[in-house]
Amino acid sequence: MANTARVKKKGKLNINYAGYLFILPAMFFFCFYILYPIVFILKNSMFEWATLSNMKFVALANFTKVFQDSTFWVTIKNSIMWIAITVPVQACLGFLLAYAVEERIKSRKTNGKSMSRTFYRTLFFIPVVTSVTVVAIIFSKIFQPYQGIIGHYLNQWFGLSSTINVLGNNKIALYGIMLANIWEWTGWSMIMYIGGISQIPDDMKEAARIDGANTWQEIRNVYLPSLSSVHKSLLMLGIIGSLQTYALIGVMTGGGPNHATEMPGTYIFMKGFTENQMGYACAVSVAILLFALILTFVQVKFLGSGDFMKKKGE
Amino acid sequence: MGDTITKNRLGHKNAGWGVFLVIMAVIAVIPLVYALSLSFRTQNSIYAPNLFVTDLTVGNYIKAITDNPTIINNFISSLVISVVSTAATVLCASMAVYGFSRKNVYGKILMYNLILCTLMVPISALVIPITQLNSRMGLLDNYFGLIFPYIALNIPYAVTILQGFMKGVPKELEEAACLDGCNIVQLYAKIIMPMLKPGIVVVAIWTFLTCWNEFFLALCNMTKATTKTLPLIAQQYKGVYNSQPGILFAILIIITIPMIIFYSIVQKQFVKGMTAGAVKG
Repeated sequence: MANTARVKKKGKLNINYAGYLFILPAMFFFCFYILYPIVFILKNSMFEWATLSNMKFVALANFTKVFQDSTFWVTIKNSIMWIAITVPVQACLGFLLAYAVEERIKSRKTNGKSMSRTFYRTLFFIPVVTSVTVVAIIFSKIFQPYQGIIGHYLNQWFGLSSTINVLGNNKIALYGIMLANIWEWTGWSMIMYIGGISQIPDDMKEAARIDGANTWQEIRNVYLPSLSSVHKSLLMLGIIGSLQTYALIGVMTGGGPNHATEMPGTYIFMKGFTENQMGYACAVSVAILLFALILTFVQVKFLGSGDFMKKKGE
Repeated sequence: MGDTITKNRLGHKNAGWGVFLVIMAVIAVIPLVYALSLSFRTQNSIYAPNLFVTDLTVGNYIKAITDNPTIINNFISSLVISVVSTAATVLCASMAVYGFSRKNVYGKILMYNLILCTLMVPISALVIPITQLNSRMGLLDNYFGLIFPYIALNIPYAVTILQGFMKGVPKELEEAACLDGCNIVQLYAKIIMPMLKPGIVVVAIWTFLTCWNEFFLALCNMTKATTKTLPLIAQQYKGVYNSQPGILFAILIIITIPMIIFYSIVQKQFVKGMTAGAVKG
C-alpha cells in the first residue's frame, strides 16, 4: 500500500486538499496563539523594555541574569516539588477511592446499580468543579491563624499552638497550597481510574480471586498493570496542570513569604506587570518554555503518552 | 455469574473500605461545609474558629445579591467562554487528527510533532504576547480574546489524546464506508467521530475545567466589570469584602452551587461516556 502511494507520488504529486482543510482550523489557532507568542517572547527577551515603543537591545543579558537569579531557580524547584508530590498523591488517593467505590461497595439492588456508588462518584468530584479561586479563598481561611479551623482543631485535639500560621511560614507554605490542590483534583484522578477500572474484564478479577490473591496482590497484579494508560494520562495532565498553577498561589500567598512559594506564573506576573521589566519577564518565559519542552520530551520518549509521528508509522 | 459478582463482590470484607470512604467523604466536604457555615454567620460570629456556630443570618446573601447585580453577567461570561472554547477545541482537534490520518497530506508529520512539542507549554509563559496580540486586535474585554487562546492552548493535549483513539480506528471500517459511497466529510462525521467519542468526553471535560478555572490570562485581558470571569470576581471580592467575610463567602457559595447542580445532573452520562471505551494515553 505504502509502496504504491510512493510510486504514484513520483509521477504526479497527488495532494489531498481535503486533508489539509481538516487540519487547517487547529493549525490556525495554533500558529496565532502558540507559535506567534513563542516567537514574540524569543525575540523580545533580548530587549530591555516596559512598553513596545521603547525598547533597548541587550542581546543575551537578560538570560545571564535569569540563570543567576536565585528566585528563578526557586520557581523551578517549586515546580518540580509540586509535580513530585501532588501527582503521585492525587493518583494514589484517586485510585483507592475509585477501587473502593467501584469494587468494595455492596450493591443493595440486584441490577447492579447502587445509590451509594452514584453518591460517592458525585461527592468526590464536587471539589473538581469548584472554581479554583473559590478553593484558594476557602483554604486561606482554613489556614488563617486564630480564626481558621485547622489551627483551632489541631490545638484542641492535639495541643498544637493555635497561632500556627501555615501560609506565613516559608518552610511549610508550599505544602499548605499543595494540600488545597490535592483536595481539589483528587476527584479527577478518581473519575479517570473509574473509567479505567470499568475496562478491566471481570474474568480477570475472578481469576485473581480464585487463585486466592489477597487485596494487595489483587491491586498490584491485576489492577495497577491494567490501568497503565490511566497512570500515564494522569501524569501528563499532572505535569501540565502543575506548570499552569497560578491562581492557587496568586490568591493564597502571592508567591510569598519571601518568594518561598513562587511558581513560574507568579514570578512572570511580578516581573512583567508589577515591576514592569517586560524583557526580563520574557526571558523567564523562554526559560520556562525550555523547561516545559524538556519535560515533554522526557514524558513522550520514556513514558510514551502520545507518540511522535514517524515516517514508517503511517 | 454476573449476579453473584454484583450481589456479593467476591466475599471480600468491605467494612474497612467503607470506613475509608466515609473518612474521605468527610474530608472532601469539610472545606465546602465550612464555607457554607461562614456564609451564614453574622459579623459577631464570623471570626469564631469553629466549624459550626449558632449565631446565624441570611443577611449576607441578601446583601451579596443586592450589592452585586453583575454577578449574573460574570457567570454568563464564564459559561460562554468555557462552553465555546470546549466545543471549538473538540471540533478542531478531532478534525485535525482525522486530517493527520489521511494519505498524501505532506508535512503532516512535521505539523503533528510541532503540536506535540507544545504539549506542556504553560499559559503563564505566553500571557505577555497573547495580551499584546489581543490589545492590537481590539480583543481586550472581548470573549474572543480568551476563547481563541484557550482553544489554541488546549489543542495540543486534545490532539495527543484523540490521536491515540484515531490509531484504534480499524482501516477496514473506513474502507467499507468508502465502498458504501461515503465522502470524506461523511466519513468524518458518521464513522470517525463516534469512534473517538470516549476520548472526546475526556478531552471535553478537561478543557471545560481548565477554561472554567483559568485565571492568569483572564486577569490580564478582562478589565470590565461585566466581562470578568468567575475566578476573577471571586479574587476581586476577596479584597472588597475584606472586613465582611460573611458576604464574601455568600458570593463564593452562589458561584459554586450552579456547577455542583450541573454536575449532579450530568454525572451519569459523564461516567458512562468515560467508561464507554478505554481511557487511552
